[in-house]
This record gives sequence, C-alpha cells and structure tokens, in this order.
Amino acid sequence: MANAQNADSNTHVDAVVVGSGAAGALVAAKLAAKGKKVVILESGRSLLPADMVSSDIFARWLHWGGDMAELELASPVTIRTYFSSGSQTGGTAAHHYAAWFRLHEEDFHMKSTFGQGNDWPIAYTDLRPHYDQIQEEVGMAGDEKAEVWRPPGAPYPMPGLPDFPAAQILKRGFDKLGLRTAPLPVAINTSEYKGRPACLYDGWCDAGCPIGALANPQTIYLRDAFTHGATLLNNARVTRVLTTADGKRATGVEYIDSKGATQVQRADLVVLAALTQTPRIMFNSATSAHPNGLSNRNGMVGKYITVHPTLNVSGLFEEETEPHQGVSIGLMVSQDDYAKDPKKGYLASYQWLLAQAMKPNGVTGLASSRPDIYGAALDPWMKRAAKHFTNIQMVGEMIARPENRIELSSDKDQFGLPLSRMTIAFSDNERALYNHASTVGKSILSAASATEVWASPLLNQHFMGGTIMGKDSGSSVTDSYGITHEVPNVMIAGNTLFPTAAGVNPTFTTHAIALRAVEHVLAHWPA
Amino acid sequence: MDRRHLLKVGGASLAMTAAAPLSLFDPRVARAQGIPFKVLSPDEVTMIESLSDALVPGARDAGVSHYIDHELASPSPRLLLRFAQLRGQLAPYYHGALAAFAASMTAQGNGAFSSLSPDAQHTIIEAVRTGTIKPWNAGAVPPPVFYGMMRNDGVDVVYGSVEGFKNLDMPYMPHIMPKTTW
Repeated sequence: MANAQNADSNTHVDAVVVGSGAAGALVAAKLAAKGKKVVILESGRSLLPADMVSSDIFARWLHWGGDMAELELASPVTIRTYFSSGSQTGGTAAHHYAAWFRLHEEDFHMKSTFGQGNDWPIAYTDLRPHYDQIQEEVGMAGDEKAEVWRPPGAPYPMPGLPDFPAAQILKRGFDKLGLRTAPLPVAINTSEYKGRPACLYDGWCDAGCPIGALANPQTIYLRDAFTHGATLLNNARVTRVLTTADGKRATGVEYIDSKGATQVQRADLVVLAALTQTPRIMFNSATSAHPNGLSNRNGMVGKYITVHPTLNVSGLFEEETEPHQGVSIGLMVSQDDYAKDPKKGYLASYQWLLAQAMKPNGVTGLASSRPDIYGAALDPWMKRAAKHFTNIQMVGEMIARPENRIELSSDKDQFGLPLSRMTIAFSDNERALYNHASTVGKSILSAASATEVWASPLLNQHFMGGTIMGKDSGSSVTDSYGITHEVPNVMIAGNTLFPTAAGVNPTFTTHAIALRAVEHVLAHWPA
Repeated sequence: MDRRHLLKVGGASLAMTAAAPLSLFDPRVARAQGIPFKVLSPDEVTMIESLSDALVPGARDAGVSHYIDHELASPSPRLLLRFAQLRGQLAPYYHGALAAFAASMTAQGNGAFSSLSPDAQHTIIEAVRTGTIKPWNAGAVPPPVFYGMMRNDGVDVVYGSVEGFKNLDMPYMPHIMPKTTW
C-alpha cells in the first residue's frame, strides 16, 4: 500500500502528527496539501472502511479498551471514558456519530459572564468561517431555518435527515410542550455529495461507516492527506516529544513501533492530536528544561478535563416506532433550553437529541436501557421494545474545574513509561442539571403518549480539556491556535484544547479549531 | 446503487493496510462441538451457563460460556465489561466474581445455582442485582456489576447475533454482514 510503508526514522519531515483522529487527520491533510512532508503516527491498528463490520460486538473494538488502554481512574469512579475514545486509524472519530453542532456565542465566555470555568481565547466570529468551510468540504445535512438556535452560518449543503416514525412520535411531545425541534445537523450525507453516497439509515454508525456516507476521518481528511502524499504508520506509540538542549524547540518524537523497537521521527513541527494520551506524552517528555513535562512550567497540563453529562429518557408507545431505522445519534434536536442561566438552579447548557437508532445489545442497546428486566420477562420485553421503543438523549454541559485532571500514574506500561491517572467527578451543578432534564424529559415522552417512561442514571460522553487554550499563558497550555506557550513548534490539536465543554457534541468544533490553527501555522511557516 | 457497489466505492478510495480479519469463532457451534476452554474452569462454565441462562433464557445453548472464554483469551476482549474501565486484564475479574458467587452460595447453605427452584433462583438473582447478597468477597467486583456481566454476555449471544435480530423481527440491515453469528 502506497501510503502505509514503514517510515525511515532517520528521515526528517516537515511535520509529524501524533494521532489520526478528527483533528490529526485534518491537520495532516491541510499540511500535505500545501506540499509539506507529513508522517502520521497512530498508536492503534489499521482500520479500513471495508473492515467496518455491522455488529455491536465488533464495534466495541473501535472504542478504547483491551491491551492498548490503561487510564487509571481515581476512586470513587463515576465517570468513565473508554466508550468515548478509540485507538485505530481514525481514532475516536472512526466510531463517532457525526452530530456536528456549532458552539453558541455564549459558550465562549463562561468565565467572564458567570465566573465559572474558563473563557475561550476566541469568539464565535473567529470560528464561523472555519465551520462554514468544513461544512462545505465535508458535506452536512440539516435545516438551518428550523434550527432557530444556530449561530449565523452558511446554509447546509444537504437537506436534513428524514423523520422516521420514532421522530414523528417524539416531536408530538415537544410540540405539546411548546418546544421547537429541527432536523439534527449531521456530517452524514442525505444525498450524494462529492462522489460519496447517501446514508442507508441502517443505524450502524457506531461500527464505522464503510460506505462513506458518514464523515469518518477515513472518508474525508485522511484520504485527502494520502492523496497529497502523507504517510500513516499504525501501531506506532509515541512516548515523548524530543527537544533541543535548551528546551526551546522540538526536534521530533520518539515512538515504539509495531515490533517494539524504539524509533525517532525528526520533524520541524510536532502536532499532538492524541486525545487522552496528549497530556501523558507531555508529562513523559520532561527534561531539565521542562522539569514538569513539556511546556508545563505553569502546571496546567492535564487540568480541566470535562465530559458531557448525559441522560437517556426512554419510552414504549402503542404505535410502531421502527427503532432500528435512522442513525445512531438521532434524527432531530431541540435546543430551546440551551441558554445558560444560574436562576435555573444549575449553570449549564443542554440539548435534546431525538430518536436514536437502536440495536438489541451493547451499551446503548435496548437490553441495556432496562437492566432490571431478566429471566422469563426479558424476551417479551425485548420483542415489544424492538417494535415500540424510542428515546431522547440530553447532552449537557459540565463546568470545567482544575481538579478534574490527568496526571501520571505510578503504574507503567510494557515499555516502562508511566501511565495516566484521571481524577474526575460531577458536582452538584451537573446533578441539578440531570434532575431538571430528567423531569422535563419524562414530561416530553408522556406528552408524546408513551405508555411507559423511564430515565437512565446520570451518564457521560465525550472527552475534552487537559491541554486547554487560553489568552493568558499563565493559566492555559496553548494559545488560540494550539501552539504551546513554551515550545513554538509544538502544536496541540483536538478536544484537549477545549477550555469549556459547552452543551453540544464537540466534533464539528474540533475540526473548526484545527482548521483555523493549521491555516495559521502554514501562514507563519516555519513554526 | 446496491450495498456491494457502495462498499466497493467506499473501500477502494483508501490506501491503507488491511486490519486483521475478524475471528470466525461461533460460540453456538463451539459449544455444540465441545471446543475446549482456554480460560474458564469446568466449575466456572457450569456456573456461567446456569446463571446467564436464568437471566437471559437461551444463553446456554447460544454458547455464552464459549463466548466469554473466547473473548477473555483475546488481548482485547469485546465483552461489555471493557467499558467499566477496570485495570488490567478482564479474566481475573470474571474468576474473582464467579468465586465470590460460589462462596456466597455455599455460605448461604445453597447447593449449585442450577439445582435451585425458579423462585429460589429469582431470590438469589435479586440479591445479586441489588447488591444485597451476603456474604460477598470485597475483592471481587460488586454484585451488581457481576449481575451486569452475566446478563450482558447472555444478551450478546442471544440477541446480538443475526439470528437474535431475526427472533426479534428486527431488520439487521448490515453494511457488511458479520462472518460469524454476530
């Protein structure tokens, strides 16, 4: 395969990108398109679209876990992150559900407005052109007029998702309570787009999308990167960033290859886009010039980890809901209660996602929604749910706090390098959000004429923070472009840059900030 | 445009190395053929089959023990327990929980779980599910987690397969049909 040969570890390249997920793939593609020689190092195995088998059990392989994953959780454990991460070609985004939302203007000013969390060093106007560009490049489906809450931006290039029976039934409940809904904006084709086919609505997004209707990295930016000559190495686990003796410049990275041998990849620019592993790599890059880890003189590396508090409110209906149809993320959205207002009894934004396609088994499957049912009662319930189930999902905001953090563990991996240890917990604020949303969600399903309604416990999804961007070099790890404060040719890309979580799924913003950053880097080359 | 053509379009556009092929392991067939276990002991197999089958009727015949054994023997088990984010390999957690359950049954003066009446089994399961079973080895995963392990693995083999979907009259609608039963 032309783009997968072993890299010569002695060959100097323009840029080495650590991680082939959403951010790493985009940065690699844009650099390569401008003629830069790019090597992508991916710690996970190769994953081709043709490998994406439609099976929940297969799909678990795309999420973190097994022999590759070791993220020690401090007790008591209430937040888990393996489902929201992944280690293979395409990283976490290989199994993402492609709910692509823009942040709202208010999301950028949490600290200055409410004295909580952080401010972003940018505003919506800084990101809007990048959202618009990516939307055009990737292709998105939605209805910007129905999405009355959406910040200004270009119209979606494709019409919104179809409203299968489950969405129609749930919309009834929102309508009765005066809550507006709109087609859920997705990076999924509802019609053919740039040679990629339309979605088949079979609900197997979690296992990847082998037809390329959903914008996995394999489908869009990794393909672009390869087209322009970038090279990808799988099973290449980066251990540390190498720097000059004075610590002022990065010279490349050290990694363990698939045979367990230590290799060095020299580069002018180092891009860290390894999600949960980015803080770990920085800690493990400590030298006399960077005694606390790379660019960590202020002790900010690893701080402000956030997730999205999540709640599923489910119901059974008299009508057939056809829950197997659609896409994994859902068909409609409502953001009518998104505004942050402490008078609500909590400080957070949140949204509802409606009518997620369901399978019988797995974390998000029918059986898991009612773990209390077993024995002779299970099969009749499963048969009923397979025809009459649907749900709404709350995606909420967690306030960013420095005590929610990643540090190095005292345990080491097989190569002798310290593993990561995460300390994170919800506060009363997120529990108040959960209580509010649980009450509202049950009311919505009851209004939609559900015959049975139940709510999940407080769950979580997505992973953000840990190397946050900021205006103040004393309280952040990077500037607004992801450039580390102490080493100007080390750029961080991906969700770890998020100073706050907002109340929407992160991947569109992941792309937008990465595009803004790589354009800046190219304009100021060499970094 | 049919699915086969779509797959060809989607897959041919990339130049990357191919992943390892999926295992052709089929737990129902493995059970029928008496394939030897690699990780589980005979007592553990008996306990899993009786408990999981009580939680998810049909799990025994669907090969739940072979499924668990096969996954535990792999470097990256796909059992749902992986998302509990426990440290290290999963096999010790299964061994520990099964031992805790067996010890508790003995301490309560019960015989094998499979020998109990349906009502007695229900009482035991409720105690496991709600975390009230006594005694319970504190070194093992908590009883509700053990309940989830046995139920989830049973659900996987009974409902997560192509045949399981068919029994629910739920269209499978695969892009790429699994080569095994799931």
